[in-house]
Amino acid sequence: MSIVYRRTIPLAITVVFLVLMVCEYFFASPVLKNVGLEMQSWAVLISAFAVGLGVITILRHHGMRIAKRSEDWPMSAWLMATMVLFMVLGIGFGQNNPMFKWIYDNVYGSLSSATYSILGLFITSAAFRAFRARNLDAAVLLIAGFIILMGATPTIAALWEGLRYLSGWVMDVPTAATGRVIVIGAALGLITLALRIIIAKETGFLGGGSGEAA
Amino acid sequence: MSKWIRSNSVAVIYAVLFLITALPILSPLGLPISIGPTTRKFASIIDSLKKDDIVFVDINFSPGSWAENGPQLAVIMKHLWTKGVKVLFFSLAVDGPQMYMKAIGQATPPPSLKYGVDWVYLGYLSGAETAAAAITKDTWSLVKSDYFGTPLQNLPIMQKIRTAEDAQLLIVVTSGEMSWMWVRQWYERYRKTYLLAPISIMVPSGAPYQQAGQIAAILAGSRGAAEYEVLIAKPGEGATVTDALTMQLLYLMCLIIIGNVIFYTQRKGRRTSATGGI
Repeated sequence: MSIVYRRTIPLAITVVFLVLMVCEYFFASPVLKNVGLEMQSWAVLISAFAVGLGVITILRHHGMRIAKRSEDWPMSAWLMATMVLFMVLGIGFGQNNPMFKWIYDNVYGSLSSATYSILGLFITSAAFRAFRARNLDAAVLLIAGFIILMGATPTIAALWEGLRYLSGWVMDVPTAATGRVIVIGAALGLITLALRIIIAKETGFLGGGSGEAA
Repeated sequence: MSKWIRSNSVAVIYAVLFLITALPILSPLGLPISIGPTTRKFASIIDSLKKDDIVFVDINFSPGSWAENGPQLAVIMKHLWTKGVKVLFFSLAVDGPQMYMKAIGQATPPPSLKYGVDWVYLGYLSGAETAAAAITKDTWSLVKSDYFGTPLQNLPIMQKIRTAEDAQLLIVVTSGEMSWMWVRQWYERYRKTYLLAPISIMVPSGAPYQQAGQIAAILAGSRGAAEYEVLIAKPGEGATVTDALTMQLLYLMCLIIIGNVIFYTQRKGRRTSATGGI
C-alpha cells in the first residue's frame, strides 16, 4: 500500500499534469487554456507556500543546532535573531518601515553587493596567475579573451571603433556557436527527462532513490 | 622590496584594484564612451513605441547586482517616461520590490504621469516560470491587487491590460539565468518583442537568442547603461562608474600581460639552466 502512496500516486499526478501542460502549450484550445491557467495559479500558490516552508525548515534546523550546542552554534543564533527581527519588521510594520529599509539597504544590500564584488577580486587575481599562453590552445583563448576585454572597455572602444566589430565577431560567431550547442544540448536533455517522467522511467524527483525506476 | 611584492602579490593586486576603482568614482576622469550597436538598437526599439503602448517590465535582480542592473533599470525608466507609454512593472525575484523602490527614486516620473494611470507595480510574484506563464496569459487571474494593496479594478491602467496580447514589449532587467525562459513564455508564445538588460557576464549566453531574433537587443551591464545614458542624454549612475570600469579593465589587461611576461621569462630561465646555458 505504501508504495502506491509514495510512488504510484505522485507519479500518476505528475504524468497527468505534465501531459496537460505540454498540450496546453502546443495546442490552442480554450478548455486546455483554462485548465492550464488554473494549474499555473495552483503552482504559484504552492511556490509561495514553499517560501513559508523554507522559513520553518531553517528555524527548525538552526534551532536544533542551538539546542545541541553544535559547532559554531552562535552563528545559528545570530541567523535566527536577524531572521526573526527582519520578519517582525517586514510583516508587522511593512516593507516601507524606515527601520526595515535601513537594515535592508545598509546591512543586507551592502553584504549582498560585497559578496557579488568578490567575483571581481577572483577575476583580477586569476588574470595575473592563471590566464597564460602555456600552449597553442591557451594562446587562442587568451587572444580571444583579450579582444573581448578591449571591446568591453568603453574608452578603448571609443578610440578605435573597429575593435567593436572585431569583438562583436568573436561574440557573434565562435561564442554564439558554442552557446547554441549548449542551449540545444540542454533542451534535448530536458525533453528526454520529460519523456522519461511521462513513461514513469524517471522517479528521482520523488526522492529517496537514484532516479532510475525499477 | 621586490621580494615583499612577490610574496604578497595577491594583496598588492587587490590594493591597486581598490585604488583604481575608488579614485575615478571620487574624482571622475571624464573618459570618452562609445555607444555600441546593441545599445543603439535597444534604445531605438523603445523609441519606436507609440503613446499608450503597453510595456511589461520584469525587475528580476537582487541588491548584489545593483551596480550593474540598477543603472540599467533607472535609464530604461527615464526613457519610458518620455514616451507616454503604459508600463506594467512586476518582479519574479524576491528582492524586486526594494529594487523597484530604489530605481523609481532615481528615475522619478514627471508630474504629468500618474501612478495607476501610466504605470503600476504588481510586486513580487512567486513561481518563477509558472508565474511568467500565468501573468502573460491572464494577469488578472494571477494578481488581484498591486504591490501597495490597491485592487486591480481601481487602477485605470489595468483596464487596458489582460494578457501579453495587449502589450507591445517586454523588458527584463536581470542578474539570473531565469531570463531565458522568457524566450519560451513571451517571444515563442506571443511573438512580441523581448529586450534583455542582464549583468555583463550573462551577455555571451544571450548571443544565440539574440542572433535568432528571439531577444531583440541586449543591454550589457553597467557599460550598456552608461552608453544608454549618453545616448538619451540622461546622465545617471552608469556614467559615473564608467571611468572606474575602464580603469579596472585596463588594469586587468596589464595584469594578463605582466603575468605572461613573468611566465615566459621564468620558462626561458628554466630552459637555459636545464641546458647549462648552451
